[in-house]
Amino acid sequence: MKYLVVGGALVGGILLGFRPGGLSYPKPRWWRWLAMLSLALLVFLSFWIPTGGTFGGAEMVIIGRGHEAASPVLVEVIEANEGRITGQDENEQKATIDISSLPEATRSELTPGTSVILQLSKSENGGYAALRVIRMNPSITLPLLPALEERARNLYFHVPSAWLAQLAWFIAFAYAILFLRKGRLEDDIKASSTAAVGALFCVLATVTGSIWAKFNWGSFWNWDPRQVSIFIVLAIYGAWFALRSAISSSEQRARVSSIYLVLLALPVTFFIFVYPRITAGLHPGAEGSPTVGPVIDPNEIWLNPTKQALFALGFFAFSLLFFWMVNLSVRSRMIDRKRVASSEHRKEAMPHKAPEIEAIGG
Amino acid sequence: MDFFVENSIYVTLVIAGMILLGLLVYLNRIEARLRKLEGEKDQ
Repeated sequence: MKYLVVGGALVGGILLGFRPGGLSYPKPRWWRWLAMLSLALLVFLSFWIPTGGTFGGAEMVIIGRGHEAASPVLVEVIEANEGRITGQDENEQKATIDISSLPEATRSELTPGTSVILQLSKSENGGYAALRVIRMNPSITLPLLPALEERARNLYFHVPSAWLAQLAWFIAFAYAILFLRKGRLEDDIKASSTAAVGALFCVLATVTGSIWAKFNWGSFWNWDPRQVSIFIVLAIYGAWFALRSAISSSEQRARVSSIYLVLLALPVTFFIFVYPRITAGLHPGAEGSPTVGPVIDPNEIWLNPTKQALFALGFFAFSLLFFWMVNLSVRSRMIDRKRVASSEHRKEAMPHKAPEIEAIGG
Repeated sequence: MDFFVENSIYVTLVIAGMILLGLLVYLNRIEARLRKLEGEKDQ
């Protein structure tokens, strides 16, 4: 089911990216609205859906961050007394919660049968104390991952960005081969535009990853194998930019750039998909990790249905954003090319005239 | 300050929404300019 949801969204995003009319044809209005609405929905749902954990998860957060740590727990109120409730989490574990610090109006709403997400911390007597109500009767929740807590929300942006940095190279590779076979400059424009937007997504993946790393691992950069690999991929993208800007002839630039894109396709794939999995590191999927990666692991325990849907939306929305940006880049460069071609044509059509040299100072 | 601590997720939602809005406005402006240069009517 997970592959169907996430893979379907990914394939759907890619197919829509090439339709209608490929990379160089203007996207119709409905297409752009679909891209904008899916992005807006992704941003909204990624932050609006509350996290609802369990008592076990709250205990693990306390073990990790100390007794003052608070975490959101989804409970169903079983019993309500003066200043206290008995709640049951989704694992059917029961606990007594001190709600005396909540406002009177909120306390009166916590009647038996009510479902509520409470921000809980440990009370002095060893039980739980509710600090505040996060959401009453939530219709949809995200699971609490004790190692990530609310920082897990970053992943709906970080993972699709990293994936598109790789996808961009695959597409650029295909157009580079087309250019080398047929010699059409239009294919070089498509290959280089795709790679340039891919580089932007690579930067986005690096920035979102390092901000996340600061709050999860304590430092912006940890030289984790996946950070090393994205650094190398960024350097490969950077070298490609330098290579293109160093050649003035458009034909020669296109040929050298296409050869570079073809030759580096395998190393880029190795650094994104293989290297972080054969070395020990902090990212899930590293050697010794219990999973090959939450998104691609066949065991559905790593991604519950709500997260699957959010990841699917993330891949779909980011794919459309990526293809829209590539489309704009291709079209603007085609216009530039036509302008240059027509000005060169005009120059050739004009009769040759010797340059007039004015004498300066008599 | 407590407001920002307690509602940090919603504050992030607003910031992310503003960044997204800016990006979409920027992309739509480029789209409109390109259509003008291409001499095409929006469908």
